[in-house]
Amino acid sequence: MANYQKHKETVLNLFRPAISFAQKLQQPKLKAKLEEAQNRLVEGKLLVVVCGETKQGKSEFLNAFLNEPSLFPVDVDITTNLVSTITYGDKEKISVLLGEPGNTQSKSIGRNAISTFVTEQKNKSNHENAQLLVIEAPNPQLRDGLVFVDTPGTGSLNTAHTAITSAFIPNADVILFVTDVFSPLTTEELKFLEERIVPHCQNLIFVVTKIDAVDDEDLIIESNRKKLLTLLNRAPENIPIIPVSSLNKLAYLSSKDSEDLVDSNFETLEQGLWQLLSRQRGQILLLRALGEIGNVISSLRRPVQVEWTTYQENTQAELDSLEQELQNNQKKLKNLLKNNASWNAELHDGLTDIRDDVLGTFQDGFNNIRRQSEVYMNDADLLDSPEQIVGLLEADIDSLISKVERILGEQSATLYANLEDSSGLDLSRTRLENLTLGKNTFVADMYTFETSSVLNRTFTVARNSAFNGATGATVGGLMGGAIGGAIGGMASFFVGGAGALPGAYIGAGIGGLLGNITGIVNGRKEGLRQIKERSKLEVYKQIKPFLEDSHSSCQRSLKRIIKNLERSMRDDLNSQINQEKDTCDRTLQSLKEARNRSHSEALKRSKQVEVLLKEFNQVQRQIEYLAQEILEDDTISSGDWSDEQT
Amino acid sequence: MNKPSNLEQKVKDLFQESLELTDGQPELSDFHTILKQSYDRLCQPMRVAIVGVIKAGKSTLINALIGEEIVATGRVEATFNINWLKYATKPHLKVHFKTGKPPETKSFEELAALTLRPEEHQEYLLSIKYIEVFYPHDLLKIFNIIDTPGLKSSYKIDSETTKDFLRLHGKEITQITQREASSADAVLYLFSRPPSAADQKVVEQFQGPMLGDTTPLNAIGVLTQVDRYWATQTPDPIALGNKLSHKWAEHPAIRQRLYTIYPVCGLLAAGAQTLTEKQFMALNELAKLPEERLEKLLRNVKRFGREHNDIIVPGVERTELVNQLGQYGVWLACKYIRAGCHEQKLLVQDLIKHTGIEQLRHLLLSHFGHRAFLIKLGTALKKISVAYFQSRHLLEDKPLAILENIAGKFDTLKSKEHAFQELDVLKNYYSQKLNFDDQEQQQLLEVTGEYGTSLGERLGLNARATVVEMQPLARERVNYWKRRANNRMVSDRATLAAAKVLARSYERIWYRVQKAQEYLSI
Repeated sequence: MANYQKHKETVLNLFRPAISFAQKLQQPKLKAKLEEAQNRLVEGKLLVVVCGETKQGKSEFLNAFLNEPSLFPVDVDITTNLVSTITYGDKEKISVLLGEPGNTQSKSIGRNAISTFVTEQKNKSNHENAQLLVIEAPNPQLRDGLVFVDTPGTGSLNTAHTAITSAFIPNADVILFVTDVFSPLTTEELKFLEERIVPHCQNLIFVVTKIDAVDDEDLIIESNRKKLLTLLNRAPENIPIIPVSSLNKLAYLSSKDSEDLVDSNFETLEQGLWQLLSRQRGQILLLRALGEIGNVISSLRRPVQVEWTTYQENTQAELDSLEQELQNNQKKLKNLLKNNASWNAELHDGLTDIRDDVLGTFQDGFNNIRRQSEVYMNDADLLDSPEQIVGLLEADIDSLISKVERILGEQSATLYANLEDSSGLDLSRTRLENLTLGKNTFVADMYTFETSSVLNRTFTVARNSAFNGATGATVGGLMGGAIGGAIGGMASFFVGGAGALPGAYIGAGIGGLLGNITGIVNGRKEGLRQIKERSKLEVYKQIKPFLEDSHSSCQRSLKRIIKNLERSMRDDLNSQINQEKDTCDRTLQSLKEARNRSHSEALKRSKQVEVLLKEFNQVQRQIEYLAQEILEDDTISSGDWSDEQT
Repeated sequence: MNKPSNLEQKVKDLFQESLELTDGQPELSDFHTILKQSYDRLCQPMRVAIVGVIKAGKSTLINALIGEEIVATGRVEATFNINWLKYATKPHLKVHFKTGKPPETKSFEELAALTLRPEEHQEYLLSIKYIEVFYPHDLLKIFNIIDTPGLKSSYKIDSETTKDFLRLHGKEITQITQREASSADAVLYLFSRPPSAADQKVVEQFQGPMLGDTTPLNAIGVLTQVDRYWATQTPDPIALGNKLSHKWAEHPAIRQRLYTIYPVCGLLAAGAQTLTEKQFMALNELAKLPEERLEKLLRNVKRFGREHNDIIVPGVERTELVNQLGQYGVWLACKYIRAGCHEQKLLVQDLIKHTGIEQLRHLLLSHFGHRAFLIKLGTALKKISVAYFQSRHLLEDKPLAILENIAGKFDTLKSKEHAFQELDVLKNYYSQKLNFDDQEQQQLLEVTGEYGTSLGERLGLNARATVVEMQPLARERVNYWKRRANNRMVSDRATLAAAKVLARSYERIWYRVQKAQEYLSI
């Protein structure tokens, strides 16, 4: 079993003691927070997007991976033309999303009806107006949160579904790029990788299918690897190319003959896939969950800690001073919550700066694109087939947007960290911690949880991931952007539990933005195909409005994204401050109560509290240990990929 | 092999007669030269050009058509030159250069060595214009094969060699391919994947300037690598191939450009024809294995080649065998052997029947071969006519008499040969210059011999139609088309002219049917 599943189980187990702490200490709000975090981990989705030309065995491959011989139609005269998603569900449920973007309805269908919507043969030119096929299946392969998204072929990307495809790729955790053993990687496929995939997601696994039909797949694997070296700019060992046979895997389902399984090489693929997922998204999901547990336990612990401190040998003066400090903190936190707290303005100013920066970068980039369009229009070859020009510009815009997205994510994360600093939020935490530790140390077991470096890394990873558009997003949100928000209830199984993090807006927004661009592009491509005269003037008449539309659409979207970002960052910070204040209040309360206790009561309480603190220590230590393990998973030796291949 | 038709024999006799008459007549020496050139061209083997994307199985198909392994096949693509396969008594190569350097003779091995390491010999390889490949196979006396490097759009996609080469030479490659395709007597367009009707790429391939002036007059589509369907789709790949090809051929963009699409199990076809005795023995051993076991082994090529205690044939040989015949081929061969086929020759015949190669060869030679002759003849007649008009003013007495005599005979040939007029109609039809409805179009294709030249086939029945069946139909058609040819209100001149030709065609058929009837009643 891969690490992700193992660790996930362990982390989920840690929720139990934490929740029982919250229960015992009668903190329903914190208990709810834990339950929410637990749910997010349970529901946590790992998005795997499958790309590749149809006819190269993609549908068979999916069937084989899922152990479902008859899920996707695979006849040789069939082309599948619809984006399909598959996630885990207790009961099999298949729905198709029909209608225009912005006005879609979901229709429940049976398995046999899949080909009616999904194949070109039965749904010519998509007269059914299908946007998406959504499959829920009680499939063990999906139980750990895998979401597969099957996108139509790269060659026939001039379908209307490109909008949806563009929305998924930036949010993919891993991309499986499927080709078969008879077709070397084409220039078109390499171009697609370069322009549409690599800027957004570098977690790629190349799958070469149909190896049952040849004995020399190494030749084509090496040939592909050579072509990918220049594109991906990595060491050859870090380009995973895994050969498989869907045929043999499916045969294994009925034959149960291990030779079929081994020859299929699917186990190598699954290992490779999980390794990659564990290292990236898996790690983030786990660390975020761990972080939450740690956070809540911290909050639960502090009042208890202070109570214990009170029962130790402290002079009245010392206790007075402690109480004063806590009151000061309380006041500070109260002020932080006020509307005129300085961090509010800082947040606003910070985001204004980011907005200016981002829009500036976008403008510069777009000016370049305008200049580039001139170059394209002066190329005789391109003028001959002008719809290519729009395709090229689309790719250019795509690159620009992904650049902008990166900047936005990085700067937001930095701003957030700075705000935590400058608002004194960070300080409050550590100070409280130091205060409550007091002079007396609980020698052997005392535990500087808050300042542990491992945990800091954990929080950093978790926080940065929140702003990294890709991982912060909930797929439901981005789908809303791309399809116009009409999917409603369908989005639920995409969302990794409730509660989008601030960065989710970035991911969702960008996804929607790219979807809009694709819509504009498709419209223009058609227009360009229709023009009678292939002159620069005629082409320019189409390109000019295209650029204008794209520009304004992008600008609008970017502004909206940043506005939502501000709102969500503010909410998030407020929520943190609230929690801190709550903890502070309770800590103060605890101190006051403890001071008022009689000596005998204090003695009794002291013993009880010690036991509780020891339990806290144990859990906190487990958290740190686990976090360390998970963080270390990040380092994978370079020999890994070459070792895995048979 | 095809037998020369009446027309072909008549023409050859006429040419020979004319050449004799003009030989040794100094005033007629120019005319003689033109006669000779035309005759030579007519007698040349038919030119078949093969075009396709890389990895479409071109080399395998060529080997299958010829029946011997002439061209090397490989998993990664090799050359990008033109290869022209011709007949000679000893195998050798002649390399022609772009630079005007005189052609070099090389052996097969020498050239193979060069193409194995293209980077080292890049300069040499890039300077090659085309390569004449001479091979002592009788079929090459009947047709030559022109193996083209392909089309720029598809070629750009997966060459092993540097991108730069393609950027610099891609256009040139396309031009070369286009030129060869347009001067060939038949062009085979190879596809290794059946595209769906909506597959933009395929449709685009058939539109625009990319393929020059190919029409169904001389272009056939070939669906290759059909053997591959056996593993996942069907126990009868050719049947599936046929079904797919039919569906596919209905796409309007394809119908305009290709006569039809033929499926071929290239690997099996080539492999069966070049099967060695040792391989045949190995097949016999394998046929002894239980069916289920053999099928399971064949499910994976590497598995098939592994050592197993109970299989006498060594793994290495088995791998060679499956690379020779394909998974389908091995399975089919064993099936036949199990059913009682014990002779290698017979086995090969049985196997070939499932590959579609014979149908393709037959189509090339008879249908397109004859058409090619007509087309070449048409060109020759034009040249002769021009030469006649140019020469007659300069001559008198005996030479003039000879010229008039010969020119007259050729002229008669042209006007009497209804086949030329039918050919023109067909040309116009494929160029979409005619306005016939669907049914009329169908009859046009039938009567001009697109579906077969027997009387029955020309009437839209099959080749074994009886006189009783044909008579009423022939009469009906004559009446229809005579009326059609006179219906000036409805159609344009070209269409009316075509209708007139078709009416005459039906008249001739009617006449022959009558004759057959009379013969039978005697």
